[in-house]
Amino acid sequence: MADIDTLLAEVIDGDADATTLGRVADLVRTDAATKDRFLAHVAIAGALRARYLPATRLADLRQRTLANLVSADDLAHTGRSVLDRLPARPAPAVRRSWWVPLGFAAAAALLTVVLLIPKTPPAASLLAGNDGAVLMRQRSLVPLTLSMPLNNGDRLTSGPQPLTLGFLDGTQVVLAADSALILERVAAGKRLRLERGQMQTEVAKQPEGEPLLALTTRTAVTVIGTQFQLATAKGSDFVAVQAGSVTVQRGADGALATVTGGRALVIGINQPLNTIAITTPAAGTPRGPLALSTANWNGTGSGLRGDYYADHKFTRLAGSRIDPHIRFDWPGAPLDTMPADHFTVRWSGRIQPRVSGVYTFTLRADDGVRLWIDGKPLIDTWNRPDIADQRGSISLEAGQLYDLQLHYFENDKAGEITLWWQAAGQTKEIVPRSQLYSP
Amino acid sequence: MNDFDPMLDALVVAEVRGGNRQAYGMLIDRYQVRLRAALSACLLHSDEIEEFTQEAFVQAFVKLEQYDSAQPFYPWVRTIAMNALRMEARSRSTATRHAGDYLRQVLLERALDDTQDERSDARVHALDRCLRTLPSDAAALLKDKYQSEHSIAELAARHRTSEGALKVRLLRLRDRLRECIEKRLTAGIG
Repeated sequence: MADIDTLLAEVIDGDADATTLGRVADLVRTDAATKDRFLAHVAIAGALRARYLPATRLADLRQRTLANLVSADDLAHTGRSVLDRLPARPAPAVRRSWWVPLGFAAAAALLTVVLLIPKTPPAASLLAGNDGAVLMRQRSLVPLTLSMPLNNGDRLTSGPQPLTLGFLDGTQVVLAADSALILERVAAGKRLRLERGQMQTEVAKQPEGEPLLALTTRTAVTVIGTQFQLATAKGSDFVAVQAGSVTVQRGADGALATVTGGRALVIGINQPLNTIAITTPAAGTPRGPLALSTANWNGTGSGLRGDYYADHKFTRLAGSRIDPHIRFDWPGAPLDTMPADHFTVRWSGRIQPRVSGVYTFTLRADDGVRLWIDGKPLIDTWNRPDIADQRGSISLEAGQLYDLQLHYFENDKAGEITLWWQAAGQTKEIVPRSQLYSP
Repeated sequence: MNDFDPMLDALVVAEVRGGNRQAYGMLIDRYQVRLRAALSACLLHSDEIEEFTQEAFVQAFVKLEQYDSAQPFYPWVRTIAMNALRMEARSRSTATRHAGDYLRQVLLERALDDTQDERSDARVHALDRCLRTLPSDAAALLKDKYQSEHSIAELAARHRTSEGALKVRLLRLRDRLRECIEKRLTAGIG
């Protein structure tokens, strides 16, 4: 008899013949363990299929569904019900409605008219990244589709992926994930207002006297033609220039600075506008999605000291070691010398920021945590553990070393803890080993 | 990503109710992956999952006036989809003789379990965490299998193995994910 695993694999991976189906059906009918295994595998295969579904399939379903929408009002007029029973067997993916042929005829007529009108390319359009993104246009939400023209006043909020915008003159803007941008003017004399997050911009040569203006609430960047990045966060902005130069003006006091290729600038409230050197990619190197260069303050650390205790009161030390970063998922005990539950860990050392500005630290922990940076308490769930992400912010100077203390306790079942940081000019990441130093 | 942001859902629904049907696409974009994952616990064939997903969004549109804007949209459309599966399960006899129909019925009857909805959401969340624990070559194989939609024969050739060995390897990887997911769900950490 063939191995049950082989039979299950044949069915779940979708190419089982009738004999195999019959044998699996018999096993599922008669053996509860096989039934459980079958159900579990179908569920996981389905979840994997959904997770990895190609974007084209998602777009297809969206398009088909929108084409088949019939409202309750429509039904009242036509008497037709879309609530008919679903077919018992797999049906063709496209469900045609009575009005589809009519729609095609109307669309064909419209297309004929449209084709006769000379087309003017839009001043700006969406090139990539519409999944999960939102466009607010004249106080209305509009679905974002690829190649759609963008207008003055459009407000774009990216989803989990970056958005790429193209302009008629070849200028391209990549809006990082979870960022927001208002297109105040899309034609010559472009004005882009970054409300939140980061953008990478490759600006084609702009007409004389009509530079591109990139704005945040506190900074104006004037550009004739160059590659630059702009990021905004609570407390400060960040401009990095790969090639050419830009002029930066701080709104609070009108202070001006020029940032040239290979340099960057952090714009805080009371900081001098001194640029710093950055590492820029070689000419012709494809740029990643907004990986802002921070090479100038790359540290040489090797991690934090972790003291592991076999109790809740930091008294029974079970072992110490250097942990290169804080990212742990413990189904059992972290060390052989301690229990799987009811333990504590104290990490201590120093942390070195790569850029100046306000840093937001995020902790995800099961169960409780306390975090201090530079002696200041940032996060504390010690008496009220919460698996949800916890955040705390502090202003830090690039290159300086700050004391860090992190306490963690685990009650029961599995334990986990992860520490991220994020700042203007530095995307959210697990605090890397190079920026952590033992005491 | 604000998957369950009721304020954004409410804004979109208001827009749709105001006559902008295209805005409904935003809700489809936000929730179709999650809904497909929920349905795929009860359906074996991808074209059926596709069909039920589409129908759930169409039905939700028809019933949009009944939707409570104070609540997130996804649980509502998920309930519509699971109800359709339940109707399907009840309409058919469990004494189905054909083996394929019998297996389909076993899966559909899952939808009759009211706790299945929440479990499928938790499973999807846990799956993401568990995928991170796999070696990179294993994760790449799963991605290749479920994203590219290559046949088993094509995949076996790409990964230089036999079809039989590949199927069993996929099964073992799913077993490993299943153990990890169950551990996380039992521990209540999703």
